[in-house]
Parts: sequence; structure tokens; C-alpha cells
Amino acid sequence: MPLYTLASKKPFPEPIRFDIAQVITDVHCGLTGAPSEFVNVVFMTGYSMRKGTILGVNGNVRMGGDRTAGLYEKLNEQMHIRIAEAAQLPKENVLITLIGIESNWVVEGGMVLPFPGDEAEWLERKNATHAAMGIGPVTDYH
Amino acid sequence: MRSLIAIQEGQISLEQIKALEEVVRKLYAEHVSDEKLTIIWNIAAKQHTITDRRWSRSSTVSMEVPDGFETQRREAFMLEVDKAWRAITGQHPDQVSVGAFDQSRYSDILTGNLTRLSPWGRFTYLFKLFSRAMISKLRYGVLITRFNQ
Repeated sequence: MPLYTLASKKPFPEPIRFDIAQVITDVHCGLTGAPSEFVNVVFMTGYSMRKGTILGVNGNVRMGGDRTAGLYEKLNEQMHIRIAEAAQLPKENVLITLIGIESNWVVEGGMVLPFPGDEAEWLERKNATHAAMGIGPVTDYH
Repeated sequence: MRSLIAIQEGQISLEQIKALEEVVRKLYAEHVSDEKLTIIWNIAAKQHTITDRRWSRSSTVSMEVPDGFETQRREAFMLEVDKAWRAITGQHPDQVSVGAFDQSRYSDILTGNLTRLSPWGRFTYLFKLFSRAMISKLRYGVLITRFNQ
């Protein structure tokens, strides 16, 4: 979490998919302070989109903690601009929808996710727990 | 109640999917409710999911629970599912996400997924989802569909 799902009729080329995901990670982490390891991006293809939309982006993001309504507005606005650029689409063809989710409704890394703003302490605790269990960083990327 | 589980193509075998489904159902009945849980597996094509800036090998388990489900019970349930999941798949803890969402919010998420589609897109999406899932159910005993049509 966050989980961003992107729906389009035609698949974007692999390098563009990769670029879009980097931009989403940059914007999300840059504005919220969340660690990049939290950010998941899924591309769904083969869907007939609503009129005027080529790419529909839905983001399920943690709410509460140090996040304000203004931050979500900024997140929406920046996502809109930067994703459209990365996808090489006019802004009006990109639809962004963000849905707030309580952080303690999700477990990742074997632990309940922290409230926004408490990520540093949570990461420290998670890394210590994993180290005590003999679990190293993720290496399986293929 | 509904559960959508996203996994990566070629990562988890059919036998593992069946074992995972069994354990998720068991834990759901123990911790949440004995109401019927419909589980749909959604497989992402290779190089279509990215986690932490890299092509992903992550699994995302999302489940619906009654609105206002007690925090302690919710957390205990998710942690048990996470532990059982990793015992079967051998995945790294950072590669597994387990969510237990209030029913009303889960509906918002699913509705949001459909809102971006055209009326025809919604029809074909749901038609493909259910027809694929039903064919899979008849063939393999579990409901499996794909993110990439």
C-alpha cells in the first residue's frame, strides 16, 4: 500500500510502463514521505475506457496520521500531470481517482502498516524483526 | 463476502493456489465470519506489476470484512493469513500484502475500478471475469482470471 492500478485498452510499451511506475513512486514518496518499498503499481489492459479516458489510474492510499486533505489534492494534481507526461498523453485523457484506506487494514512485511508519518520507526522495527528471523532483503525479482 | 487475490504469472502453482485458498477460507471462518467467501484469483502478466521501482514478484490479498470489524481481531486475522501464505509460497514478507477492508470501503474500491470503464467496458470486464472464472472453476476447482485481457 499504496496500490495504484492502471487500466487501459491497449498495453503501453514496457519501457513506458516502467517509466510510469517510477513517476508514481517519485510523486507518492516525494509528497507523502512513504518509503518506495510500499508502492505497488499494476497495469491492467484490454478494457474499453469511459469516453475521453485513455488511462484510468486508481490509487488506494493510506489515510490519517500526518496526511491532510490538502496533501491528497496535491497528490492527485501531481499524479495527473506527471503520469500524463510519462504516458505521453494529454492530461485530459488521464483519469485519477484516489481512495483513502486506514493503515491498520493492511499487513506488509509481516507487520501491520504504520500510520502515515510513523514509517521510519516502523521500518526500523521491521528490519530488526526480519534480521532476528534471519530474513535478508528481497532478492527475487525475476 | 468477497476476496480478490492478485498474483504474478508463473509464480504460484495450481496446487499452491488450492492450498492457499483452503487456508484463507479456514482463517476467514475462524476469525471473521462463517459467511460464504468468494475468492477470485487475478493473475498479472509478466512485467505488468512494479513494487519498489522493480518488476514485482509480490502477491496482494484483499478481503472484505464486516463494517467496523474490531481492530484487534482484524489485525490478528491479517497476520495469520500473512504467516500461512508465506509458509506455503516461501515468499519474502515484503512480497506479501494482506488487507482486510470494511465492506463499504471495499465496495467503493470495486466501484472505482469500474467507473473508469465505458458501459461496454464494464459489461465485457464483468463478462470476461465471470466466464473465465467459471471455466477455471470447472477445470481447476478455483476461480482464476487475468488482469490483462
